[in-house]
Amino acid sequence: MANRTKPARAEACIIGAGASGAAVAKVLTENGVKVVGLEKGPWRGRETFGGDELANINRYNLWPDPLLNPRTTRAAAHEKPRVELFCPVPQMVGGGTVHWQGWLPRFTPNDFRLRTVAGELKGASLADWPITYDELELYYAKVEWAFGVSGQAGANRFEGPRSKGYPCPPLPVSRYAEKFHTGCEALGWNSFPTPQAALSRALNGRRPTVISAFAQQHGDPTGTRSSALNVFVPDALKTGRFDLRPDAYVRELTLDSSGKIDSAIYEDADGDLIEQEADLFFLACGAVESARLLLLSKSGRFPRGLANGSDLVGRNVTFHEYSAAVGIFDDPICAWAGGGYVSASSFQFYEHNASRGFVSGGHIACAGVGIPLPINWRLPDAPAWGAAAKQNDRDNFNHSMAVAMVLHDMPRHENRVELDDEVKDAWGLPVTRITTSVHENDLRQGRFLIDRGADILEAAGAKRVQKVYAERVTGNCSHQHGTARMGDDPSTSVLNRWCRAHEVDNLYVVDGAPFPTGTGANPTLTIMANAWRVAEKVVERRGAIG
Amino acid sequence: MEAARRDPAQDLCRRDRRARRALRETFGAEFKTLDERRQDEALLRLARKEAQASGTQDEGPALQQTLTETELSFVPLLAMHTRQGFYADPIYGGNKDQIGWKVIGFPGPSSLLEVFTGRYSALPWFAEGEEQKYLEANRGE
Repeated sequence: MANRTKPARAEACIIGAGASGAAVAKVLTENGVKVVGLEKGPWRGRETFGGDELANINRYNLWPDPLLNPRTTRAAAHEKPRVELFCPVPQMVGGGTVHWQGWLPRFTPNDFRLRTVAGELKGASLADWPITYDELELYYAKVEWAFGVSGQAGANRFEGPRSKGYPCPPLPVSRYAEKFHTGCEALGWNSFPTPQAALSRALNGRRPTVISAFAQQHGDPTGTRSSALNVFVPDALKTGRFDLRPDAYVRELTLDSSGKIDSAIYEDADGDLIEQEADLFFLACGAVESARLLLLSKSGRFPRGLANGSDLVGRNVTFHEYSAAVGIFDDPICAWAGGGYVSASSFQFYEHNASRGFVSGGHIACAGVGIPLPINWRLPDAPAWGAAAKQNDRDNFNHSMAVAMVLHDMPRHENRVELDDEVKDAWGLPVTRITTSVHENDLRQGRFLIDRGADILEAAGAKRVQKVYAERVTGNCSHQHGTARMGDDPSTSVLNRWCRAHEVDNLYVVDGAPFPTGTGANPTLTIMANAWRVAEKVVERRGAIG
Repeated sequence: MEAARRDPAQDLCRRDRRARRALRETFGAEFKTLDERRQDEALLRLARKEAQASGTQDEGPALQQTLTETELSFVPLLAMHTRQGFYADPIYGGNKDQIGWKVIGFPGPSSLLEVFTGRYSALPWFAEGEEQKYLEANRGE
């Protein structure tokens, strides 16, 4: 390793350049703060994405290569962990917003107080959020307008009050969305166009989003979708105050004698170790990797990992789960168009309703079947090869769609992210070991939501409907939350209401880790809104920095 | 799978030898000499045997988005690679003249360039009239 000049101390150091890191970078730099961004992965141009299903879905063009970045999982502490690609999110500038289609519904007011609404649930660690929907509402609107979201204000009957509509009307109606609306209408259920991270009209100097078949998990070769890579990173760079360094893998955060973080030690692309000092540190690596970095940063003061005197870092992790009812229709519905996710949604079964016999509920929406392009498209009961498989492909590829759910899995004290004892990544650091088992509530809620999805398909005229119930949490949503809960009580939370660590004054965690509950909706709009809220607070207090 | 990455050709040969041996033991003949029905039967048996040996659910639950090839044994891997060959972008050679796409009715792009330049659009396969409305609203963009 060569000796390098130590870089200048920064006012703020953000670790991770995905949705939350880029949002914080934008808000801080636009308010005069000089920021260094350290991103583990590469900074890729749009020419490296595109319409190649084999490369993107099957060959880890976007997802972490499981041989370089493995994780291990197990259902309980006494089981031997097995290596698994669990909850994969791209590790690169833009993070999860590179691979997603971007469903961006708001959480509802009750999401912020589920413990109060639903009461105690045995075997779960439900908690209210320390903040309310009203405190976040302003930031929802800011993100929707600055990031670029297309949707129809007021169409979701269960949404909380809004100060502002969407900047763009909904995307065009896909044939599968049309079926979904038809089914809901027949049943008397509310449905609405799924709010999307895409532009149906030009906005802020950006042109409308190209609506392709290659979208979800393909990256965006046209640069027209709303992503951290296309929007918030460029916004921050425009200020001239954002020094974003890709291929900078932070191995550890070090403390000074007063117990504040002094520096981030990272390894660059050449394998050199570099020390970056800063006044403030923001973890934005995603709930799994942020927890891992805290756990990797052991010291005399924090022998169990940074900010982890409470032993809560990594606990209460939630992942959602994606599963669906699948329907076959006589007419062609082309559920690959728009990548299978230019969708319609319903929050009809989202709110908690004690009479259903389980806690909470989830977002239901239509989609393509699996990844809806030919290679990875497959009906639940279809054979994988042989003449019958070929016939099935011919008959049903253009005639099938899913009504899927976002399962609100319950937080549990024993479901946690830790460091694995044996497995190391390609850089020689212990990988994440995830221990997770489902709560009975997850299974019940999942069956209920999938049954309602089947109702919608039948009401829309599907000639055949199959249900695929979720049997465990597999991490297939690529959503992750809860590993550093925010709360007012330091004995039951890692972060305070401003997402600052109770135990370390200059440490903030701004991804999904602060979420006390995972809710039943896609998290990234709320992740960005919350990150924006935290960043604004930091700017407001800036007089006290340093 | 790690072996497959280190030396794909050698790994494939090893898998092939293992599969041939298993088939000879069961059918007393080479796979290529069996008729189609017996070939299917042979593959089915091999798949079942593999599933028993690995003790895991080989193909993962339906709708699983995080399925990785590293977890598959020979027959499911063979089936998956066949799908990949037949349905992947024609640039790889297996989906010649878009034959895989034609038989299932997927109107894919004429080339990857069309996707990269943003000329490829799925709007013609949206609901009736939607493309027209969208183009009118965005005229000049």
